[in-house]
Amino acid sequence: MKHLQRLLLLLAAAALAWWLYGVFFPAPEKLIRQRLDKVAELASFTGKEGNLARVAAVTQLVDCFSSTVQVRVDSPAHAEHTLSGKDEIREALLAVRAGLRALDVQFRDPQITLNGDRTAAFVHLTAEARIGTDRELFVQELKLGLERLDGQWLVARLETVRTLR
Amino acid sequence: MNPPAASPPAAAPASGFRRFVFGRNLRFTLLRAAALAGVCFVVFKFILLPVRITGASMEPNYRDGRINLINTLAYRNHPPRRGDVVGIRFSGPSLMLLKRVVGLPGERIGFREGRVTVNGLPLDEPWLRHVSNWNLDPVELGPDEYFVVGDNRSMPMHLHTFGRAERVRILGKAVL
Repeated sequence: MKHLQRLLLLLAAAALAWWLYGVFFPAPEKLIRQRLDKVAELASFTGKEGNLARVAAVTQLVDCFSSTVQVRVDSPAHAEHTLSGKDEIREALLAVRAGLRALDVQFRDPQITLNGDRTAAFVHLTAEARIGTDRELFVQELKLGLERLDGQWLVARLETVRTLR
Repeated sequence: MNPPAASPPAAAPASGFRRFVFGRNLRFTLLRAAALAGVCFVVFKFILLPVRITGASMEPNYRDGRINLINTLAYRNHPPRRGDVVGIRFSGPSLMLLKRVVGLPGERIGFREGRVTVNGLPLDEPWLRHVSNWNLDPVELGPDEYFVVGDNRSMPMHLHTFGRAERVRILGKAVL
């Protein structure tokens, strides 16, 4: 009985150590997921948002991108165009927020591939957006390139993917 | 005269209820419940994927808000067939497009006055309820591509998602 108790205690200690290791030294995949959750949260907004809050949210969102970020949009609804750098992204985000009453963005099924030295990652995901109180969903497949700079994962490249060609 | 003994029928409903909820043997009941939960998990996670239809692109045959199931084993023994309603995945299975297969690999598919043309000939489409004026020059499908489109062609063409889908994107066939 004593052996069993010791064994259970040992297992519990090992599980605790494993959990603590994950908390203090999170895997890059976990950090990337957290970053993507943050991007989706910051990209979402409600109609109650004030001007200051809007600018603050956009600034925070832009900080999730690298200074050399490239965003390429190519979808049947929009002609192909590219945004380069944080300033263009900021302007586009402010225009979107000014034009819509509310937006709810969520990222689904992120598939993360890390490169060899784990300083860059490629993410394939599906963005789901609900505009205002519409029941209609807007779904867009995206490919993102992320880079780790100063311990932070930043979006360096974002492009739309045509699910049907 | 002695008072009548406490009537046993009062206890009967309680034991009947217990037996109904827990069964004759609680351990076997729990085992059966666990097995049933396991089977349901496997079936609805990997074989019959439940989906809620959002949008009008498949109306009137598949209405907005309805629930359907996608059978992922449907194409184990044969490839998708013309007329099948299939689930097409995005980056994963959480969200998918529900569309009808109208073109098979190697064919040339186009639209003429809302009707699909296959290698230049109009396709008989019994599932089509609305007429439209869609026109599209024929596109040739690759060896691993299927042409998919919704049933509702009364909506504007630019608002409707349709086109060539790679075979790997087709998750399975709609059951209902």
